[in-house]
This record gives sequence, structure tokens and C-alpha cells, in this order.
Amino acid sequence: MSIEDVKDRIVEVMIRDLELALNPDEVYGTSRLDELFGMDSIAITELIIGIEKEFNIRIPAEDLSVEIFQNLETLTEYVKKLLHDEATMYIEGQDKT
Amino acid sequence: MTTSDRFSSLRDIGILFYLVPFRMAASFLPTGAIRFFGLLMGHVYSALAYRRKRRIQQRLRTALGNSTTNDEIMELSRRCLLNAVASHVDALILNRIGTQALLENGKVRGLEHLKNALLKGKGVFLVTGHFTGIKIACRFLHESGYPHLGIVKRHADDPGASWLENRYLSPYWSKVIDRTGHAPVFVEDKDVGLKIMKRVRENGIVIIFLDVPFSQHLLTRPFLGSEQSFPVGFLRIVYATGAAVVPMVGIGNSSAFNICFEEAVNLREAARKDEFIAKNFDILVKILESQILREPSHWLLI
Repeated sequence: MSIEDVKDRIVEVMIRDLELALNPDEVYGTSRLDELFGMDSIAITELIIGIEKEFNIRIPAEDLSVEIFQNLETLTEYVKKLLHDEATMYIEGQDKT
Repeated sequence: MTTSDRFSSLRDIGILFYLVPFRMAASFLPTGAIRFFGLLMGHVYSALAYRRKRRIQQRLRTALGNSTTNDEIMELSRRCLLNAVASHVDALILNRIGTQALLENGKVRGLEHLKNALLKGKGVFLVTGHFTGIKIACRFLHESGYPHLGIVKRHADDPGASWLENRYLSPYWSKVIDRTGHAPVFVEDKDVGLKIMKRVRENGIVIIFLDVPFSQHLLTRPFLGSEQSFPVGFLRIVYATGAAVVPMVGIGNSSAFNICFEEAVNLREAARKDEFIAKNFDILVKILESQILREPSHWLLI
């Protein structure tokens, strides 16, 4: 999955799960996620759950920090890295069997 | 704002006395002597704070209805003030009492409900109100291996308090009295949601005070005979994570207390988040109301 695909799906999750009255372009154009949520820190928790369901991943508790959720780019890079790590772990597991 | 609003009242002088000389004296005087002074201060406050007592009586009449006699209301309002002062005085000596000695002075009921809720592995929201024994309940949880996250307000904005109290006394109070040994989480923090989520993810406990509107997300409900706003942001996290909600009440002081954990709330399912919040919030408000009505003189926000 390309980084653009990951970003598109995150934007979809944001609009759908956070019930944002925005179109995708407006979300892409936002430099900071807290501006998007109107300083709503609880919305980030809903976004986490939405992303986990969308990508079938689990964001570990120790990774839950403001840095990851600064903007769309940092979040996309983090999810992409998590997907890559999980895929690598899966392949390594298959090799062992 | 008038001068009297800014540097108000006897109440401010009382709080200042409590926070500085009395707090210092409480660090070395015998605990029995401090309790005695606390009782004395309670009686003085009860005699002087007639406006507050009158407000409490009105609130009690509205909440309890006609089933309670005037004499009972008067006695309850007097006890409300005495218990409030006793609770604040007790906060000064609580940390001087060893855990074992403290636990011998009270009862803890329903801990199995908290344990069962934690067994689900999805974190627990302990919901409660500002009862007299809440500091003891927090200490009990901490010492019993149930570390919890408490959320406090950085900036006090109680409309019933003076400028002096909101601007200086309440923050100082939080800093020197309410310290729990770890960094508090403030409702104004940008990452408060993430911190709550992290604790829930670790299958930890988050304490929610249902009786103060410390949230960007509020719902108004009838409560004790009038309308009141309540925080509901945490229910959005409950909806998203499946965390359990356990009601808790802590009343009394370090010489005699009672902590009760109730059975986890049987949350109603709903297809939509708003519906889930509305349905379950009504249940929680009723639980809080019944807790207060059982012990009205131990609720500090009356």
C-alpha cells in the first residue's frame, strides 16, 4: 500500500468516524490535526479506534503521544511504519513455519 | 468587578488561613489536635456562613422534597458544613497516617466489582462525585495497587467563588493539598484524550468526577430538582473502547470512612455514538443522584 493510499484512507476515517462536516480536500489542506478537531482531544481517541479498525492494526499504548498526531503527514508515516512492521513480522512468522 | 468581588469575604480569609498557617501547623501538631481544631473551625464556619447554609437548605428542600421536615433540613445543612470543613482539614493529615493504620479506620466494600471490571481487560472508568472521602478512596486505590489517572482543572472558574479564590487559592490548593505524587492530568491539556486512552489501553483506571462540568462535551439533565450540566466526553471513549464504568462512593475522613464500589454499569448498546451517550448518561446521572441522596451531608458540592 502506497503512502498516498494510507493517507486517503486516514482522511476517509476522519470524515466518517469523527462526523466532520468537511470534504477531503479541506482535510488535506489542514496543517494541524488539533485545528481540524477544534481542540477536541477526545476526538483523537475516536480517530485511533477508527484507524485501527480500518487498517486492522493495534496502536500500542506506549506510542500514544502528541507527536504522532501533530498533522496528517506524521500520522500517515506512523501508520505506514506500523503496517510495514506488522507485515515484516507476519513474513518472518511464515518463514519460521 | 468590584473590590469586594476581587478580595471577597470571610470565606477567602478562612481559606487563606487554612492554606498557610493552619497547613504549616498541621505538619507537626498531633493529628488528634488537628481534628479538634477542624471541628472547632467547622462549628465557627457553620455559625458564620449563614448565606451558604441557606443555599444548602434550599437545595436540600428541592432535592429531598416534602418528605423531609424543616428540622431535618436544618440539621442536614449544619452537617454539610461541618463535614466539608472536616474533609478539608483531614486532607492536611491524610499523608501523615500510615496505610495500615488508615485502613483499620474504615470499610471498603465491593472491591470485587472493580476487580471483575478490570478482568475484562479494557480499562475502567470509576465514576464518582465530590464526596468527603474521595481523597481517602484515591489513596486506598493507589496503595492497593490500582494506580489511577485523575483529571483536574488547571484554571478554576467557579462562578460562586471570588476572584482571589479562583485566581490564587484554588490553584495553590491543588498544588499543595491535592498532590498525589505523580503529575496531574489537566482537562485543558491538548493531549488529555491521549493520556486517558493510554491509561485505558493499559487496562488502568481513570477517575471521572461526574458532578463538575470539566469537559468540552456537556449534557444538561434534571438533577436533584434542578438542571445541571455534566461531562460526557469520557462516554465517547467508553463507546470507542468498550471500557467498563464502575460507580464509586467514598465518604468520611481518616478517622472513620466508607468506600463503596458498585457493580459495573450495564451499559446499553446503541448503533450510534450520540444515542449510546444519551441512553447511558441518564443511567449514570440517576446513579450519582441516588448516591448523593443516600448521604447528602457528605457531598461537598451541595
